[in-house]
Parts: sequence; C-alpha cells; structure tokens
Amino acid sequence: MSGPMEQFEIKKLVPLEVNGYDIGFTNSSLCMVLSALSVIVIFAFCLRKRTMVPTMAQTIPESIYEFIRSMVMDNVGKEGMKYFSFIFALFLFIATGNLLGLFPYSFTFTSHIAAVGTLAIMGLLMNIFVGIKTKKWGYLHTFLPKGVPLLMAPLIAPIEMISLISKPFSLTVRLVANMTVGHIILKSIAGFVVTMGLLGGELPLAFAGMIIIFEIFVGILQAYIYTILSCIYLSDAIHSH
Amino acid sequence: MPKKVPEDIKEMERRISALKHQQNLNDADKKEENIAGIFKGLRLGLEFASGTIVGAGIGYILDEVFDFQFVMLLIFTILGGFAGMLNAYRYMKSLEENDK
Repeated sequence: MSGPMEQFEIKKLVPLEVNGYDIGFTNSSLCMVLSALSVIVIFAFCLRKRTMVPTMAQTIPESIYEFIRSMVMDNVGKEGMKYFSFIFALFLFIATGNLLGLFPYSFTFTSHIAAVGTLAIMGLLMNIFVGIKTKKWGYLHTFLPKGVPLLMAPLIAPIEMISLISKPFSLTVRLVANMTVGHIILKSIAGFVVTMGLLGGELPLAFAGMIIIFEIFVGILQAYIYTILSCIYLSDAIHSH
Repeated sequence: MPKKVPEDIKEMERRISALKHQQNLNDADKKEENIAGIFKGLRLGLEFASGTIVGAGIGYILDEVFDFQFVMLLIFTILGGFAGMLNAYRYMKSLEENDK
C-alpha cells in the first residue's frame, strides 16, 4: 500500500523541454486545468437561463459573486472593485482546487508551495503595481513610513521590505500546511480501513468520512482566508500611509 | 387534585429558565472565542516565523550571490526577526481596532 506522502508526488504526463527548461504537463497542471474548467462549466450551466427572478441553479453563482463582492467592498472599498475579477478568480481557483483534491485519484495542487506561492507572488506583484499606480513616488513611504528619521532608514527600509515579502510567504505556508496535513491524516486513517479489514475497519471508515466533511469545510475556509488576506494586502497597497 | 402553583412562582421559573438560556448562550460564545483565539494565536506565530524565515532566505541568497560567507545570513535573520515582530504587532493592532 502506498504511503501517505505519495499522493503529493508530481508525475509527468506529457514530458516537454524547451531550452533546457522542463515545462512538461504534470498531474498538478492537469488538476489546475480541471479546476479552472470545472468553474467555467458549473457557472455556464448554472447561468444558462438568466432570469430576473433567479432559479435554484442561478442562485449558486450569484451568491458566490455577492459574497466576494461584499468581501472586496468591506476590505478594500469602492476602489477595490477594479480588481474584483482577480480576487473572484483567485477564490474560485483555490476553493475548487482544494475540493477537487478530495476526490480519489485526484491531486491537490494547493498542497504544493510552487503552485500557491506563484499565486501569492502574483498577488504581491499586483499590489506593488497598484500601489505605484495610485501613489506614484509616495509608494516608497511603504518602506520608510512618514515621521521616521532619515538616519533610521538603513535599518527600517530592509525590515519593511522583508515584512512586505513575508506576507505572500505566510499566506502560502498557511494554505499549503492546512492542505498537506489534512490529506496526510485522511490517507493514514484510510490506510487503517484496509489493514483492519472487516474486523474493526468500520470505525476508521466512519472517522475518515468525518474527516472528509471536515476537509470540505477547511478547503473552503482556507480559500476564504487566502482571499480575504489578499484583499487586506491590496487595501494596504491602495490606502495606507 | 394537583396543587395550584402560585403565579409569582411561575414567573420566577420563567426568569430562571431565561437566565439559564442566557448562560448557555454565553458559554457558547466563550467556546467560539476560544476557537477564534487559537486561530489568532496560530496566525500570530506564523507571521513572526515567516518574517524570520524570509529574512534568513534573503540573507542566504545574498551570501551565495555575492560570496559574503555568512555575514548577510546573520544580519538578515535578525532583520527578518524584527520584520516578523512588526507584522505580528500590526496584526495585533488590527485586531484591537476591530474589537473597538
């Protein structure tokens, strides 16, 4: 029987190399594509009949939209609505990625630092871009807040820079750790079902079922936390100082 | 024939049950607060640790690129620790503002 860590192994499905760089299509890439596709398919299906009085199916995407919209409005304000599509896509991509990973034979790409870290770095670059766009040279005050003596600049500026860079890091670690731990526990307990067989295997089976329900909750909660923190960082870039 | 319960005793029972209900609600609130407290504490720790790790990482890369041996690692780990503390402090401040 495979170990609990084998589920995180990246397998190459289509090997491809360009200029010495490995850009092969892996099981992680497949799950990312599936995650994006499933969102598009579900939304397209639910919104096929757009009526003023929403049907049962139409309320699902509408309530998700309203939920993210209110999150952006509360945390970033009206200016944040320009970046709504990014935040909305981020939430859906991570949430479906987390949920898709719970299916048997699937792969949780959100348990890999490379995937989530890239999203977080994209968010950081966007925040820097937005900050420079809204505050021009004033954005440099992020690294040296107003009122700090110039003599302290060599000490404060690197600290503020590390503080800025550590934000996507903590964001990534939080999501990756939650996903990895959840899946390891699930796999370990599911392993007991097989080893114990019919004599007492029912108990770990019931427990594994409970953990799956808990993991669904954690998957959505973590996507929510990731998105709300992205909103807060975006708000910092637009409003602070 | 059952004894008739006076009206004021009935009123007292109603008040007791209302108080008990309120007490249960308060206990549930406390439990929720405790769980939220655990998450807040975990995030606080993560903020502090991530600053230190990122600082150490930057120091290590600078050492590798400019061949400073271990000087940058030392300096940036300390600066990273400060950055972590700053992040943790800012998080606590935002919590305080939310409480108000």
